Amino acid sequence: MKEKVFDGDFYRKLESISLKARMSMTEGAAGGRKSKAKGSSVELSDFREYVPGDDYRRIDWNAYGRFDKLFLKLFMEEREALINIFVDSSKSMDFGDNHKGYMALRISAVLTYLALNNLDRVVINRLKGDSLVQSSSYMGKSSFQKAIQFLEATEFNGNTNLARAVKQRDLKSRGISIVISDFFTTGSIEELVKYLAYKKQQIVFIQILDEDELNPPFGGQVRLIDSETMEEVNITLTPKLLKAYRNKLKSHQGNLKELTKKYGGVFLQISSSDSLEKIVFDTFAKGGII
Amino acid sequence: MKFFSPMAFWFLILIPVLIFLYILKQRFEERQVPSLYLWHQVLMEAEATSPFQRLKKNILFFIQLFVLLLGIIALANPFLRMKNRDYQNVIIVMDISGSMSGIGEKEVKLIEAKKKAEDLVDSLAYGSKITLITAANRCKVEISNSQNKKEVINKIRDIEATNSAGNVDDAYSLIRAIADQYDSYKVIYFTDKAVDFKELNAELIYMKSRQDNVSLDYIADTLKDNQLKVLVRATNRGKNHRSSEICLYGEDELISVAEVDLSPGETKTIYFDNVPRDKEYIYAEITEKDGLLEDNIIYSVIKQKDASKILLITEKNIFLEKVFAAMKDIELYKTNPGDIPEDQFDLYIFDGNVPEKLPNEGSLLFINPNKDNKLFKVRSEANGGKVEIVPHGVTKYIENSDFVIAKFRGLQTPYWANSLMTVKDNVIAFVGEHNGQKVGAVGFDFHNSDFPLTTEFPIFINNLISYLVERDSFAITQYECGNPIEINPLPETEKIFVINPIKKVYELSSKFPVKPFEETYTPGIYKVSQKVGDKENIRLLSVNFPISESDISDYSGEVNLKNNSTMSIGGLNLANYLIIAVILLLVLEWIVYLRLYGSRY
Repeated sequence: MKEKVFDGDFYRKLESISLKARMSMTEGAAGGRKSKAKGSSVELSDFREYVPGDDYRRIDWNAYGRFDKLFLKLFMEEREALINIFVDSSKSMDFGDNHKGYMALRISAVLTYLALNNLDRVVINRLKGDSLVQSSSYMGKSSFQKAIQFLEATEFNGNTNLARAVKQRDLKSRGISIVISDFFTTGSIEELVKYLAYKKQQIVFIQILDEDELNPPFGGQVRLIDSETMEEVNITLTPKLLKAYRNKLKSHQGNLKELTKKYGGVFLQISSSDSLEKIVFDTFAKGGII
Repeated sequence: MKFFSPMAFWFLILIPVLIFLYILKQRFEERQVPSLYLWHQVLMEAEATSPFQRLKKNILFFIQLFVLLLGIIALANPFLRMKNRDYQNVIIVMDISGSMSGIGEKEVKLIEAKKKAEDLVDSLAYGSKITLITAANRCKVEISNSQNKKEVINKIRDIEATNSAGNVDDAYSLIRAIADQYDSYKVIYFTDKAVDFKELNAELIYMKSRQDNVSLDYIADTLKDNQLKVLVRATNRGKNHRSSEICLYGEDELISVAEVDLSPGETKTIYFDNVPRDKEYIYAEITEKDGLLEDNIIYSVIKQKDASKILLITEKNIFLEKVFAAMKDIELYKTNPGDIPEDQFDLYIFDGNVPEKLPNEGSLLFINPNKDNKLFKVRSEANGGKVEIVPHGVTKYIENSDFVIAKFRGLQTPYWANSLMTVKDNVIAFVGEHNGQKVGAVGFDFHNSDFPLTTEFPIFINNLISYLVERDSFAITQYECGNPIEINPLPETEKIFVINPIKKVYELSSKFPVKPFEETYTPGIYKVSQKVGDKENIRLLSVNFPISESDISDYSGEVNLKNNSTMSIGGLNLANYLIIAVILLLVLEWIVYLRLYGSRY
C-alpha cells in the first residue's frame, strides 16, 4: 500500500471516537448490547410474580420478606451480535486524492473497533469479482490488531458484482451487515438487499464517493476512462450535462435509500474527503448506527 | 447584388481548412473516473431527450464558420443596388477655391469635402460613369466618364487647394456640355457657396464653415523721406468682436506690431511709419488663428529700382517737360545744349541739337537733329504732310492717330533700326540698338506739328522712353493666388526661372510668346529670375490670397440643396454592415463560450 491506512493519527482519532461513541443498535444481538429480549444477565430489568416452573434461583428473597409474595427478578438478556462488514475492493474504490478505498478501510476499522468494544463479533469480508474473502471471526479487543492486519492486506483491483459476491457468504444467524462500496455495480442492488433481509440481517449501506464523483470538476471536451474496465467515452461536458449528472447521482442515491429503508436498513453516503469524526458523529449518528 | 472584388472568394478554401482544424481540435482531455456507471446513464438520457444536443455541442463551430463566411463576403465587397439605375452618370464638382481652405466642422473644408466625395463614389453603383470637375479660378475636368472607382477616388485624394478666387457657378457651361451627352445624370456640388443649379439635375453638399475670420485685404507702401510708410487694411468677417495683433515683417525680421479692435464687419486701416527701405519685401500677419488661415498674411514687394535718370538737352520744350512730369519713375534733368554734365545718365535726349561727341553709355534720343552724326544721316528740311504710323512695339496704341507736321528732316534708317513713322515715304522716326546703346530719333520739331495736342502724344513718348530706358518690366508686383503671372522677358533672355515661396523651382521656356506662369497657388513671395549670359535679372512678386475668398460666412440658410430631389446615393455598400455583423457574431460566440464553459471555472 502506497500510504499507511492506519497511522498514528488514525489511532488517536479512534480513541477519541470510542470514548464518545457507543454502538447502540436498537435491534440486534450483540454481547455488550442491551436487547429487548429479557434473559439472564446481571442487569435488572423488571420483576414479575413467580409462576410454577420458574427458576427459583431468580426469586427475590428480599421482596418476599417485604411483601410475602414471590417475585422473580427479570434480567436483560445480553446477547452477542455478529457484525459482517463487506468492503468493496474493486478498482473503482482505488481512486481519488482522498482515497475512497482507504476511507472504506478506515471506516471498517472504526466500526470493528466500536463493535469489539461492545463485545460483539466481527467478520470482515473483502468483495472482489463474484467472490469474497472472509476474515476469521474477531471477538474481544485483543483481536482488533488482527482485523487491522486483515484490512491492510486489502488490494483494490478488478470489478465487483456486489450481489453475487455477498451471496457467497452464508449468513446463518441474525446480525448486522454493513456494505461499504460506491455502489456503482453491475449486479442488482435490490437482489443484494433482498438476500440480506432474507438472512435476517440489519442492513447498513455506506456509499463512499470521491469529490470528483459528487461534483465533476472538468468540462469541455473530455475522454472519460473507466478505471475498472478501461472503457472510454468521449463527451462534451456542458453545464447542462453536468446538471443531468448530478440529478442522476441524486436519484441513484435516492433509489438506494428507498430500497434499504424498505427492508429496514440504513443508507449512508459519505465523501472520501470527509473527516472520520464527521462521518462517525454526524453521518453515523444521524443514520442511527451509533 | 454585385461583388466588386470577387477574387476574395478564393478565401472560401479556408472553410474546409477550418472544418479540418475543427476535427483536429477534437482532442479530448483524458480523465480517469472511478466508474462510467452513472455517465452512461446520463449520456443515454441526454441523447434520448435532446436531439439538439449535438448542434449545441457544435454551436461555437457553426458561429466560427458563419463569421468566416461573412468575412469573405465582406472582402468580396458586395454592393446592393437600390434606386440608382437611372443615375449611373455622376458629375462631381469640387470647389477648390480659396474659401475651401477655411476650417469646416472639424478640419479644412476641402479635406472634409474630399472625404464626403470619396464616400459618395464608394456608394455609387458598379458601372456608374463618374466625371470629376474641380472649380476655382478655372474649371478643370480631372477625370471624365470613368467607371473605375479606384481611379476616381485616387484623383479626389490628389486634389489640392488652389487658394484662388473662383465660383463654382462658372463651371455651369462645362457641366452643361458634359451633362448633355447623357440621357440621365446627376451633378453633385461640393462647395461652401450657394450654387445656382439652373436647369441641372443637381444636388449641393454644403460645406459649413466656422464663422470667425479676420482677413488682411490690402497692403501698400509709399516712400516718404527715404523711409516707407506702410498701409495695411484688415476686415473682421465674422459675427463676433475680435481684437487682433498685426505684425509687420521686413523680409524675415519683425519690424512693428499693431493692435486692432474690429467689430463684426468692420474694416480698419493700420499705418506703419518709418519702415526701413532696405528690405526687398514686407509682409503683415495676424497672429491669432481663425476660420481661414491663408488670408491672415499679406505680402508686398518694395520697389527697389531707382528712377531712371534722364538728361534733356534742349533750349525749351514745354511739351516734353509736361509729359515727363507725368512719369513717376523717372528723374528728369534739364540742361542747355553744349553744357552736358559729366554725370552718368540712363538716357540723353538731344532736342534740336546734336553734340560733337556722343556719350558712349546710356541711351540716346534725337529730336529734330539738325545734322548728321556717326549713327545716322539727316536729310535737309522739307515741307511735311500727313504722318503714317509704322506698326511697332513703340507705336502701340497710337496706330490710329491722325496728325500732320509742317516741316521735317528725313532720316536715313540705319540697318540696326526700325522705322516708326513716315511722311511721303520719308522716314521721320526710328528706334534701334547699336553697340549696346539704344538709339531713337524723331525727325521733326514737336512745335511744328499738332501731334503734342493729340492724346496719343504722351503714349508715344511713354512707349519711346520705355523702350530706351529700363523701366520696370513688371508693372504689376501684386498678384492674387491662381492668377497667372505675365512675364515679358528681357530681350535675349536665355532662361527664365520662377521660384515659389516654398522654394520649388519652375523653369519656363523663354521662347516667344512666353506662357504666363500659372502655378500661383501658394501665397507668398515669388522670385522670377531671367538669365542673360552671366547676368541674372531677379524680380520679386507678391502673391496674396484673394480678398473675394475671405468671406466664409455661412450660406447654409439660403442654399438650395437639391434640384429635382432624387437620391444621390445609388446603392448600399454591404461590406461595412457585414463587418459589423462579424463583430456581433464574435461577441455572441464569446457569450456562448462563457455560457457553455465559463461558469465552471
